[in-house]
Amino acid sequence: MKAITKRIQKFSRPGVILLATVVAIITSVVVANATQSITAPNAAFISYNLAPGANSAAITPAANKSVLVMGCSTANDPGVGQVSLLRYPSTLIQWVGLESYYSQEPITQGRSGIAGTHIVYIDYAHWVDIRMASADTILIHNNPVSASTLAGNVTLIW
Amino acid sequence: MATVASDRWPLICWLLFAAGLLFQLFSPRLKISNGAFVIPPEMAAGKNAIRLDEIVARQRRLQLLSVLLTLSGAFGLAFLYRDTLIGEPRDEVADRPRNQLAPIPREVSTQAQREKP
Repeated sequence: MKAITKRIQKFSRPGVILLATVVAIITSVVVANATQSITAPNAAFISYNLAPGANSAAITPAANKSVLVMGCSTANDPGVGQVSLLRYPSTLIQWVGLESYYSQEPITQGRSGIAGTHIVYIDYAHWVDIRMASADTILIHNNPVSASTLAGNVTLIW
Repeated sequence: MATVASDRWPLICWLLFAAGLLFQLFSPRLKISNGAFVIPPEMAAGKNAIRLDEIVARQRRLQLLSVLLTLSGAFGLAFLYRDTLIGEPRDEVADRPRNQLAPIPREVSTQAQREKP
């Protein structure tokens, strides 16, 4: 080790400065990445692209916290909807929010632990909705009658 | 004995720095866009349930560990090689014969002396 230390000390001065600069730059990149991750709010952005009748992966919202779920459909059938929900672990999910535009009943509310229960529509034609996947999870579903692949995104904030 | 222990510090600092980099390179990292963690489409289209709060918390833990390791390694290296970085090595000064050491400059008053009238 002593030999390594001596060797580093005997580098030319520009070489030492260069090595120190490289270490400083790498450290700065790591610090910047970590700062971004640590300071980012608790929010997740999920894109979907669903064929008729298809489901997204099940999504587990944070437990015992209010979670804002807002989603939209962007292609072919644009629309937007949102709910605030609360998950009681292993029991049920309770929600209240607004269906996408052109609903007879714009308010959506309920509580359920049963898979398949509708939560909120997020497209204009009411083909794409967020629904229960289990007592702890939700998913995005495209109705089989839509006859086209629909895409959009859902954001969860907790 | 103390020399052996002090000789290990550079190695320890380099290892800390490298470990921090490895955590940074090989830990799963979600892209952050508009203040939100972006879940990759293949994960969203998969069969496994996505536990968002756990994924985000794990990423934050790994990033924190990575930054702590990297920073401690970098600061340790800067401290260990401070002589090389900011001036001549301490060993060279110590090894130099006494008669070759630079004389200590006497303090010189820079204030102009007032001329007596």
